[in-house]
Amino acid sequence: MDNLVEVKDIAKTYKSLDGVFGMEKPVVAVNGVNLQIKKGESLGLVGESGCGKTTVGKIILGLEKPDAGTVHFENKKISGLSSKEMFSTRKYMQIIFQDPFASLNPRIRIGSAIGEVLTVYGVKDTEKLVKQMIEIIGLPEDTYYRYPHEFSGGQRQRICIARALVGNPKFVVCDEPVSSLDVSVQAQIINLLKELKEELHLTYLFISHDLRVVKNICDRITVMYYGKIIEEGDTDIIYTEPLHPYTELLISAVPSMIMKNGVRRKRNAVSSVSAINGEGCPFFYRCPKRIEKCGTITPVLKDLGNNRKVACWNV
Amino acid sequence: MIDTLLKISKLSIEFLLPEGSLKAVDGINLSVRKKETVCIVGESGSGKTVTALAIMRLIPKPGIISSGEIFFNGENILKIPENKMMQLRGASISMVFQEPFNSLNPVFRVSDQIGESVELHIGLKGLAKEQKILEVLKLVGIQDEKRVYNSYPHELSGGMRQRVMIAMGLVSNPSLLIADEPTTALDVTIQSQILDLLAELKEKLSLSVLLITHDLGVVNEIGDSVYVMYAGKIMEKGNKSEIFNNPKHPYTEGLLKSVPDLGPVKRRLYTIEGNIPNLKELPNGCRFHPRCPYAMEICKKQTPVETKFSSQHSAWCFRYQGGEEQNG
Repeated sequence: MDNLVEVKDIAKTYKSLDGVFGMEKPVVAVNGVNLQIKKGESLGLVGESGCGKTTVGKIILGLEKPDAGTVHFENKKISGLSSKEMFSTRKYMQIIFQDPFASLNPRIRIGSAIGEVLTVYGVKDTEKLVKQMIEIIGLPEDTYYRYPHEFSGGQRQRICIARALVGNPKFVVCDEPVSSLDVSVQAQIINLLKELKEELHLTYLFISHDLRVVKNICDRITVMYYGKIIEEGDTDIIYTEPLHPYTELLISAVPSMIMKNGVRRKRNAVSSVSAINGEGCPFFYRCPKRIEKCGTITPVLKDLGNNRKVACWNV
Repeated sequence: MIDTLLKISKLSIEFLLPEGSLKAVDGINLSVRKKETVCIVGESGSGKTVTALAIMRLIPKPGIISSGEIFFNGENILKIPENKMMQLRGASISMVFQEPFNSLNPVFRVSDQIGESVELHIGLKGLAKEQKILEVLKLVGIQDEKRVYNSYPHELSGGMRQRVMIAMGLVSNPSLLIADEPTTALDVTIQSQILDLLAELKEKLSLSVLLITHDLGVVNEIGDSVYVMYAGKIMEKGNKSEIFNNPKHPYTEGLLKSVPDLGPVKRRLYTIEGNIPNLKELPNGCRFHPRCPYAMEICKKQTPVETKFSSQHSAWCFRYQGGEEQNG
């Protein structure tokens, strides 16, 4: 299969002020990330808050400029292009945000909000296309004339999905699209995203911290920790045989309804200490299986074949 | 029963709005025994948080407790004067809120914030107070308690702040801890640490916990018994294994089936059609009937009554007949 998106060695560092008059100190958000997203797959990008998963998504879409590295879309280099040159490519890339309350303008009617993408790209008869899209995402037809406040959270997220998909994109970044929704509504949106992917031949980068959601929607999973990819593999295998101790910790931490013989498992969670500075594995201080080498040499992401990659000296 | 710590009976909470009153909680019964972790599960707007606030007598205006009784240790706390309630609140009953970011005061050190409770409820001062604070910080699993003691909230991580909140709740040695979505804003690994902590403290301190959550996974991890709430009413109650293995109410059943979990992946997740009702336009009859796959004619007209399946397990649904009319 062809790669739709290819990310090579991207890095991004933000500057943060330590106090109001303090020194500027660099915060490494993404540090040498490589990703290949194949046409038609949905790749899950998981990790805890602050691990850089959203930054990766933004860099791919060109919303954030990487300090180093390149992004290719359909074998064409898109990182570093000017916004004019980006215009024609951006049509094929879209994003769905986490909070459907913050990402819809309260003063713009739904019809215009969804149709804006089409107008920007010079489509004349937007109304017909928008109304078709509203039908596809399962909302009543009069949605077109209404305002965001008239809708519930789940309905708004449907509207955001319609807005992302109306321009016929090939690639969609879903940034925690269901984490602000109620449980009964969450399932509806997950199903909708799965159906639309099949019908419209979409490719997803699905960013989430919820491993239960990711398991139900993604074909392949990439685990990030402190700006680095530490494990990658097909969904089934990642959950049944995690290789990296951090992946193992993440999976064991998920509150699950599968009965564990009625007893709470004792976890090997070591309380969080910030990542090591400079050389060494970023997970060193929290790792129950660390060896001496881990503290001094950063493990590289080894390719084990069968889509499986892991960065750990123990493997 | 002798070991009942908290008993809520026929509690209704209304919000008096200019356009009319809104019933957020409608005649529920609930009880928490000593050393028990009771979970209230429900989606937004089901009335779980207001129920908790009612126990603390902290319902924000224009909300009122329109009827019902809340017994704590056999005493109706809705009848006692406010100054007596103040002694109870934070001392015997404590509450931990969802957002550790919003519920700590950013301009006071951790020591001052916990210290306030120590002074008020235990009456310790000076060195004894400091000792007590350090002790409780250690109890909630903070290893460098001296640093945290002198810290401001912004210097701590989310998990640390939630630990401080729990420490603040526990310092007065309460018999009931109300935790309102204590882990929702936290990362999974931190969440599991906090859940471990709650389970451990419950044993150590003989604590009863009333846990409010929307996450059935969390319930499975630390709950003993479960109340399922929907639009201000209790739909089903029972102990954990009864609810998880043998759900009777269609809403409970739907919730359990629709949650994505770590088990085998289904092509489609089960969904409960429709949306949570607006409290201003509650459906007649059973509140769940517009979304219920088994809805019958009677469901649209009458409110279902309790059907008992065991001493603890009950559901309010017309699919099972019998029982007298009360909720909870």
